[in-house]
Amino acid sequence: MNATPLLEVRKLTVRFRTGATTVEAVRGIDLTVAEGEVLGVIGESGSGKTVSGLAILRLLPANAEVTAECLAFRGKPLLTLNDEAFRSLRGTRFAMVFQSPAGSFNPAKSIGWHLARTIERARSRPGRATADEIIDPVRRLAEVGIPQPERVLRLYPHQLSGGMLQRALIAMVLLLEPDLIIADEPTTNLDNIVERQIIALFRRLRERTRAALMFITHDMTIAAALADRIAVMYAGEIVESGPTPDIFATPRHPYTRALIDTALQLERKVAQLREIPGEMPSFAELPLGCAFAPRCPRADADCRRGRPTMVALSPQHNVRCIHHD
Amino acid sequence: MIEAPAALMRVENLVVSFTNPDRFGKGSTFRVIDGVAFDLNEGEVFGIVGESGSGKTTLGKTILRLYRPQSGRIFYKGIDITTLGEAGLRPYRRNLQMIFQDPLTSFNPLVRIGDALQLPFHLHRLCGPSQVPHEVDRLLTRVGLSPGLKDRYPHELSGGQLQRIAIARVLALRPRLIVADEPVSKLDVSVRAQILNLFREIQKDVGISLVFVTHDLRVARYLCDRVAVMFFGRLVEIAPTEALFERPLHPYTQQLIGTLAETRGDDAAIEPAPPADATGCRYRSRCARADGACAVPPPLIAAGAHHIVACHHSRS
Repeated sequence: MNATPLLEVRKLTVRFRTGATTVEAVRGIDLTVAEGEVLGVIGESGSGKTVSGLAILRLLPANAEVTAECLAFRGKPLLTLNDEAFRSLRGTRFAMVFQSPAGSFNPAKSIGWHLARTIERARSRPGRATADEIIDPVRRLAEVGIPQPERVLRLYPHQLSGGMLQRALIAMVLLLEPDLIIADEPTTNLDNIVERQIIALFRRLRERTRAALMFITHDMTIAAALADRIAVMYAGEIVESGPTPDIFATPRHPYTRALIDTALQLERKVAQLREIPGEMPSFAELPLGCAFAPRCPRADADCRRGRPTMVALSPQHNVRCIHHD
Repeated sequence: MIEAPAALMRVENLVVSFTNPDRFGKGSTFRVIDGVAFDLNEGEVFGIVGESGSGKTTLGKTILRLYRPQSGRIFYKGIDITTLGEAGLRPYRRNLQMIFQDPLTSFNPLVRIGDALQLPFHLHRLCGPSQVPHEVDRLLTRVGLSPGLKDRYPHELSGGQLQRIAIARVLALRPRLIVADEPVSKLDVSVRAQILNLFREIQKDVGISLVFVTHDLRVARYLCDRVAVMFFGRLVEIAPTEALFERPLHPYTQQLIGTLAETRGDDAAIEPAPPADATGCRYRSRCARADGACAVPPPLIAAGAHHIVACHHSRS
């Protein structure tokens, strides 16, 4: 690895206190994102992928306890920053795009109002490139593929479709010229055609901006289209991580393999869909050993004995499975 | 042409419109379903595919008479149910059932699963009261769940488990027709295949007709015998699944199937926005082949065995 990564996360753990019980929703994950890199974080709901993103951006509710051996942005530790210092980073250095764009807009204000406020914020950041370039909201909307941007500026959030609103939100985030964008399932609520368009937009943008992207999704095919590297999460931990071509060519964790299988099998006409039996365990009833063991075709007594450690197959490719061969 | 099998349901020239009330009590009216017609065969899996806002959910609810259409006809087993009131519909309700997209909101959060499953037996007097608990256990087992889940509340179960219970609740009634509205789109990828397979297994087992509403063509290809493609209130193409995927005739169907092949795609925004004017072909503003002829609404014309398409240029 060259130099300091943009984002470095080591042993990130998130616990939620609810009444007398404490639930560990993220169980010691390691992540790095290099400058300009796209990291795909894959997992199903409840795997901890969203919570990890929110924890990094300090957006979790008060009953969440976030600890980490290391949580650093350009080598600068984040956990020790006070809230005010952190807020000045969030929204300028890093930003988040949420699953439901409507929640990121004030329903009573026009799209133009939102862009104007964002521009104000962007201008206040010292050391900006050319001020004029960022001021033109029409151009910024056109850039993300919004037709008739002059008209859209006058519209209110509810007058735009989900796809258009997501584009407008992406335009706002880009105005801030962040170094890192965390996008949490930004296409899940959209239609097939629009979803492909937004993915294509992200692809186009990554060639133009130098922002790194942490793309959280449950869809393997999206990760394949977008990510340089992939981290697969299951039950609060990363079970496999590596460069995208390696993950797809030689998935080593049975869960990764099953995800790729089930994602790709619908692409062709098949007689019978293969299933992953069972469901992800809830955090209250995690098995003692490997969390995937109850659903795993290869599980044996050893798997149930203790939690497997991360094994490095190559400097980049890691897997948390004792049967990784 | 092959003799058409007996239709379980026939839909003729269906129109459903909603009014956006303004503050004077009037308002603008929008045709969500605009002249839809199709036959649904006994024991068939019929897919309705379209983007959100195309009216596919409204169509599903209207054929079950959860909405009342403005005009057109709906025949169930030859009986006109278009204008029946609640009392008139009651004898048919048991046979016409629906499964919704979000399983969590289709259950009363304060009612235990076992009680939710008992309700249809009591309401429709399907068996003697002493038999009911036994029937509930049987249903849970049928959809692959442990009878032990009876004492749980909806929020204690996963989306996949709840969707299985929604299927069980509908099966209790032994309906003739089930409309399933995007029943896997809210579920996790690793659970989707399980539920799709369950639908298929149960449909084959019981021989019911299933209308499967989805935005995902791949799901339709897996499950359906025939697929109808919907675009802003109109059916633009209806064909047996195989024919539709091998030889899509409508430019919109071609575009949809095209998105399956590529992950890359063009990011120029072709938005599913309602067409600016409702005259003529609704797809023409997005269509590369549109010309003067498209100002006239294209009728659905036969283009092969059981294959119909609404496009002036489908032959060229």
